[in-house]
Amino acid sequence: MSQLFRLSWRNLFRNPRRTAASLLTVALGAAGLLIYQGFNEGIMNQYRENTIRVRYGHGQVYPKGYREKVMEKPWTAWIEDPAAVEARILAVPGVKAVFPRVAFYSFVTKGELTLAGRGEGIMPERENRFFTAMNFEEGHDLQASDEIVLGKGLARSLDAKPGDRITLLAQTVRGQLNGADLRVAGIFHTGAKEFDDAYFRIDLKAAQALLDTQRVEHLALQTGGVEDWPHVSAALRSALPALEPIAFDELDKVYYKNSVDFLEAQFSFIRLVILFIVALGIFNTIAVGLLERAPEIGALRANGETRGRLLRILVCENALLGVLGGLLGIVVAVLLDRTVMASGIPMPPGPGITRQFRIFLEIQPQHFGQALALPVLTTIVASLHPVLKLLRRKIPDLLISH
Amino acid sequence: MSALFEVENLKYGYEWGGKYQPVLKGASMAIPENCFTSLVGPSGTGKTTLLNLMGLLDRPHEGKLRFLARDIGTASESELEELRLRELGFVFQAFHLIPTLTALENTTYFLPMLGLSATQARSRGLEVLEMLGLKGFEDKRPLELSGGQRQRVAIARALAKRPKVILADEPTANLDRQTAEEIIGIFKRLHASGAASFVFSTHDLHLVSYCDQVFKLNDGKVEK
Repeated sequence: MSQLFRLSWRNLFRNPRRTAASLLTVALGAAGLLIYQGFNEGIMNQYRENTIRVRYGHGQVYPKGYREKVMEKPWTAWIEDPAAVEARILAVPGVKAVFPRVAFYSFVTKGELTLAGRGEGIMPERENRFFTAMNFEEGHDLQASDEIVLGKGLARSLDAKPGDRITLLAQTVRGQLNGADLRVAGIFHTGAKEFDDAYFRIDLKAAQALLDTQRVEHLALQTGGVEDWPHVSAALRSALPALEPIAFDELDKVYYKNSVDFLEAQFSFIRLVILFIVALGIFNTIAVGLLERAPEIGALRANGETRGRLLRILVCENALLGVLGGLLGIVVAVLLDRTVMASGIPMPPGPGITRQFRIFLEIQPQHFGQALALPVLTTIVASLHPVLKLLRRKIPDLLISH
Repeated sequence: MSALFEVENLKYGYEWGGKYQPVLKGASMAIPENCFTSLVGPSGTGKTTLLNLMGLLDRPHEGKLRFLARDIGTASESELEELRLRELGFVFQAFHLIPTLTALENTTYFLPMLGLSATQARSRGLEVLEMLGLKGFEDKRPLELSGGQRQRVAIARALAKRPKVILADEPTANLDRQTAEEIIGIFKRLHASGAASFVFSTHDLHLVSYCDQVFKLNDGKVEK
């Protein structure tokens, strides 16, 4: 085996200029793959962080079956005694913080202008520490129980600005109409148009008073990270069977999960295109190199060398080309990431998003395996046809090749 | 003396321009063991074709070819590979060495396939190179050697396998007169020492003059 490897290694450098050209092709392909994957990862992570830190946390806990059912009086299913439930959730390893919330529809009135909006009652003193991507364009986040913060689109529709008075009109859990007078503290802009056009937030206590209930609809959770969610979820199902933990990506399936699936499918396609271009780029070089070696290979076969051993030598040679090209590609990609792309890539707003964002490449060590394996596979596949064609030829034909 | 090669009514040809062109038209001859034989004749009479068939590089289209009493026409591909590895050595006009390997590495190339350890292979390689006057050139690559030295490395590669016979296709054609003389001397010396039998295809009358047996090819047939 060591002889085969040594032969392959030496053969790789018999024509340094040609090998350099092939290496460059493979390296650019590997770097392209890595950069594109890092770019995708950057987009996905930004989407994910935005999704988690604007609305959902790492996941939320609802009454079991609550989200699937159509309910005439949904508040009857809301969580009673939230403090006790919260304490039990906090006892689950991996849970760092709990954010009780109620969600409700109400009329939002400013002066003579009334619109329908969707509100959330939250605990600002807790949420301000974790939900940091609300992006206040004017004013500030909630700081008092008589304040309200409005989405940018909703504020524009109401012509509201910080300091203005807003009246909410909602139905209590007993079916009576109730109202709350609040002062606009700030206007947020998450970038998600649907959210910014309809949502507002008020203090949880004010929301509960408006709805005349002590219950909460759900609890958002902060865990140690996304990777903690599966075991937190399993522990919650076991400890609180009447509740249903749901991960953020399920809650935001339309935007986050579909975006991630879309980007991954797009990456798979681009990856195929890149690998095809690399294979095409090196195919000719490999074929010409092999053709030049035909008499030498004929002489080896005339002296007893077997087709099988030659196949192994030539495949190993091209696999080595893939490994070296892949390693070079990794170096190129990491260097580009740390230099010209270090300040990120400015991107226009994506679908359903209204603000520009800056993507930082997130090249992860786990991507290196793919950046090595795929070029190796590509160089082997690209070489198979010329190698097999060469080895199928008769020895006298090989000997008279020029 | 038993026959190394037995050739009976051997026929072979090539497809050129969609037409079959016969080259060997019923060649017959027998070459004994421990021979120093040459195949001569004008260009295009089938010397190289016959040598290729004797080297088991291809199979006859018609007729019989026996090597060490084995019928080559019915041997499997792996049997032919095994015979080429163990019993035959081939030397070419254009040397066909591996340019990325040193003289010693080229010489010992086939020895691991014959079951020799790295130490045994190195030792045999050095011995053969010394025998061929290449002591001190073991670590040189083919491009660092002269034409005569390269041909000697090619002979060393064939000889290191300790084959029954070495076939050489125009071994002196690419060499100047003096170097060709040296190579002929080496062949003669190796033959005299019983290292192997030799069969050459050649135009070199000087080489022919040393041969015990000369077969002349004429219009695809053999005349002794």
